[in-house]
Amino acid sequence: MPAKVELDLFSGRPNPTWELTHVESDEILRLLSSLPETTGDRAPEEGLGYRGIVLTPPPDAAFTEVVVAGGVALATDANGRIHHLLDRDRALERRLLETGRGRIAADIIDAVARELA
Amino acid sequence: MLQITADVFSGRPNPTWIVDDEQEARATLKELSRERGLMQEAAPTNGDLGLRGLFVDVISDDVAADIEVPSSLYLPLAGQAGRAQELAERLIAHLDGAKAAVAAVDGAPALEEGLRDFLTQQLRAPIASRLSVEDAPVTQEPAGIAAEGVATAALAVTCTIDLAAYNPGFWNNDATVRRTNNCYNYAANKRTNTFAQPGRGCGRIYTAITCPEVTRGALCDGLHRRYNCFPDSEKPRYLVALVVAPGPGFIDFHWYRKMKEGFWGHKPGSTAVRNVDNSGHVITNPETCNRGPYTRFCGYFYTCRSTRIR
Repeated sequence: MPAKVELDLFSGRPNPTWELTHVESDEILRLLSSLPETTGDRAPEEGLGYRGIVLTPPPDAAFTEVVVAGGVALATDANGRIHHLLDRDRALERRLLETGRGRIAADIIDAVARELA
Repeated sequence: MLQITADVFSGRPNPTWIVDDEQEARATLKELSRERGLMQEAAPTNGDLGLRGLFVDVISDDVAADIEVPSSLYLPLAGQAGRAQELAERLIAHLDGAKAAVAAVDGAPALEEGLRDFLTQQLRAPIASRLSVEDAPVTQEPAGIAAEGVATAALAVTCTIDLAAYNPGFWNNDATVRRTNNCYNYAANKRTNTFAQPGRGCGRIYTAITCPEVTRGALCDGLHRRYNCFPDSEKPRYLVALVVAPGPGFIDFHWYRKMKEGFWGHKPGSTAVRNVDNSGHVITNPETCNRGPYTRFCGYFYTCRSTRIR
């Protein structure tokens, strides 16, 4: 089963989602595994507007869900433990966003890219 | 045997008790079967606080052998009185039976001893979590709204509306409920688990995310513009506000609901219900609060009992 990506930004409309190819999925998981653990009790973003990107890795991955936003990836493992990983320069977030090109409306990608700039 | 469950909590599991005296169980079922008009087959989907109703489940096949009732019934109590209340008192009275038991609630304070008193008190004030108030025009609509063509109804009248107590746990505690209900569900106070869309309930969903189109969809679902009153029979009638993010790129709609406490609650997409804006301030005015990209204020509306969202 391929990894799934959800752009968490809307309130009324359903969020845009797409699936990664196996090649993309492997690349993203490699990126993820390279992120160092960091300290902190940061919670997922809430409120109106762009909140982050939710990655649902394939079932055999180390994490069941990863929420990437604002330079931190909150990765939940199979035991429900949340790991705080440092996403320096929001590299993982940007790469995840770019995988949406051609799969969801370009103006949505561009609007979020402006926020990440 | 019958199992009775009080639909009363939003955070902790509801209390359940068993009627295992066969004669009592049959007598109760017969009484319920004579009052089928008061019963529903499923619980309501609003998040009112207090005793919302009682589930009655037939859990052995011999009790209801010759009685015409489904194996699972729900007696709604919000806003009910008279016969429904009498039936509820009878069901709650089974708590005093020698064989009655209350399900254990992990980690929560025991309620067994005071449960009957608690439920009876809730029953006699079933809508204490809701407040009816007069909603009269007090100020002019802000400039610009009329230009959207979706201003509130131009009726100089006072409507009675209802304000529910802020109860975020109903929407936030269960991950599935949180994920599958959005701002429109929260505004209408109807948990459909469908990520409801304006106009889908009436079969004519919006065709563009603009103030006029989302308004059209919402009116089609049965909402009214503010000051176009609903009668008492349409209780609960909530005051809600619609805003739109016009883009470019980020195009979406969002709803707020006025709460009993005086502030406004909202549910941004599949995230938790909250009563603060993007600056972390409690929302006292949806027109002026920090709404992020939802910069266009479309107007105020009422939802009601017969509003159909999906």
